[in-house]
Amino acid sequence: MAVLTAEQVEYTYRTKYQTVYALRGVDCAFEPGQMTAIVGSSGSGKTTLLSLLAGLDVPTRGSIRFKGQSTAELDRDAWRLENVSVIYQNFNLFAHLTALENAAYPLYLRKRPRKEAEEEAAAQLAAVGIRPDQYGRCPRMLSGGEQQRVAIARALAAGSGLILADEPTGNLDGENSRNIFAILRELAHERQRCIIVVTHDMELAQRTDRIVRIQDGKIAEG
Amino acid sequence: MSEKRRGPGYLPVLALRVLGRRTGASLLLAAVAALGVYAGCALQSLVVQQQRAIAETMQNTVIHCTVTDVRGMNADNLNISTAYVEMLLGRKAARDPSLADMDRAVANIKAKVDWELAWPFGMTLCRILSFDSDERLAGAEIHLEPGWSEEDFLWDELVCLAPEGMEVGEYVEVIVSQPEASPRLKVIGRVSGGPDNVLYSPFFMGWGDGKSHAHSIQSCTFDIRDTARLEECKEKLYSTPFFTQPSVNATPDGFAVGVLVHDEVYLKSLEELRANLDTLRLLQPMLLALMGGISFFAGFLVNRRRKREFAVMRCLGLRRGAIFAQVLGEQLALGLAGGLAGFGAALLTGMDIRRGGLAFSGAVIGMFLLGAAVCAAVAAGGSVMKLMKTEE
Repeated sequence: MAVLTAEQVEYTYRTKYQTVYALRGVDCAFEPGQMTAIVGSSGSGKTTLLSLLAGLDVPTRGSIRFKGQSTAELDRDAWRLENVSVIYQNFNLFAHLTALENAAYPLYLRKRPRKEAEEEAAAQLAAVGIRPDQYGRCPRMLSGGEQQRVAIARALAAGSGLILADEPTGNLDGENSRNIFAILRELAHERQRCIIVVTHDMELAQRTDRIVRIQDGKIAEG
Repeated sequence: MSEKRRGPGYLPVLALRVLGRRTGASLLLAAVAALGVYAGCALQSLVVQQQRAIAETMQNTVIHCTVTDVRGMNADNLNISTAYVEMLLGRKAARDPSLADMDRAVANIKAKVDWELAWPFGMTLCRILSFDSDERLAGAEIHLEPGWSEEDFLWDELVCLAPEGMEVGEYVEVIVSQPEASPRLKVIGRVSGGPDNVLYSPFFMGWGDGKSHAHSIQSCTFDIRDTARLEECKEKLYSTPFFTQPSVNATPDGFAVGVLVHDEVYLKSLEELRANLDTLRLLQPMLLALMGGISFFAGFLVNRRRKREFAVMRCLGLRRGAIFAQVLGEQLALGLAGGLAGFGAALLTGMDIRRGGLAFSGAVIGMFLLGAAVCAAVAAGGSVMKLMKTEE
């Protein structure tokens, strides 16, 4: 059963000179335990769709539904905190926090005791292959692959059912990319998370369970 | 995972710890706050110094007064005998809070008796009005006759105090060259410890040729801090028949007496100090605007660079209000740290910090917070989608 659905989603925004129709009637559904790749050319609307799925905004028309309830009707801040983790191409780690603190941040947000939060974060860092001697390092002291692993550990520590990733391997080399995808796949299959990955790399997309192709703001395939 | 717990959790502590890691920005903001507070204290200290200089000038400046024409009088015997009036009033004021101003006025008249040779008759004197103006009266004591009290005393009564050893009855008869002045002074008390041959009364008394000459004079008490009152006194003195505007070329006019109050230097000093004070007070709002502006923009610009960080916070589920509160808390901590450093520096450099300085400092830190708050409000309030696209 789909945990997240997009129903006739349209999204438009105005620039200084024109109105941009980023999405034009998108319908799709995403299930737990499945890793889905959203692919498409640059400007096709895939990142916009991901942002709407993450509840960072609401559609101009149509709806995004989480377990049947429209995200427009939800307290989206609280909803994201409890249910959604987003992983970005540029990692979006806090520059002045250590790897451990970055991974524990969602738990700090939930007011979990520091020790408890950091034990959980350490477990997740270990799960994605970060060594304990790296826990105290700030992001700038980690490689790109390691930073992305920390970002994934943060998503795991949050315990979110939905993990949305926007070009998570865009800044990584081939081997690191494959490793990250493997981690995400494992998450989907073994922990029953709903993983949605935006990528333009078809080779990586082939490693997912399902590919949704988006073109000119519409679903072209999947 | 909906385990909501009470209390602020670890995030506020973490935010403060991060301030220590974000050394450059933190130091910059704290330095701006410190500079603002230090500048405010410095300016306020200058204001206090000027105020103190004005007070000291008022308190300590000696204003000499000169009687320029005392024709017909024997300088040796001429006495100015208004001191007791001041003394009575001064003592009265000490007991009567409503007369506190008068008490202060008497206490602060610093003009001293200043005998100088001037006119052909060889004498110029400076009257003066307060009890402590005449050193000869330093140890004097007043013993009022029964029925008289200091409260009963009125300015215009033709009364006097006689020295303890002087043979006088109920009244002292004096020869007065001006018919409108009373020749009979009622003795209302005795003065011990003062000169033997002086009658204490609001009259010029001339004792010579076995006769006394008395000239009723106006006396006027002024507080040297009160220039308006001083002018009033001068006007009053000059308006009486015996006091004229001093002029060395004036035609001899019998018993005309001119009093010159040498207050030019005093007034000029005071004017300069007050002008300085006015300038400093004018500078205060300008400095406040400048430092406030710098603080505002420092807070704004430093936090503007954190838009992406705020977006990630929002993305992770932190509410706008929480981001806003965190930024304000951070800025407050930096502002207080910088402010304390500014105060410390001000104290170490010997500045006199008063309420005005504290208010100025508060305003600077307030502007500092406002800058950060505006930035945080704008950043946290914007679209997360757009914010996430913001380049680092």
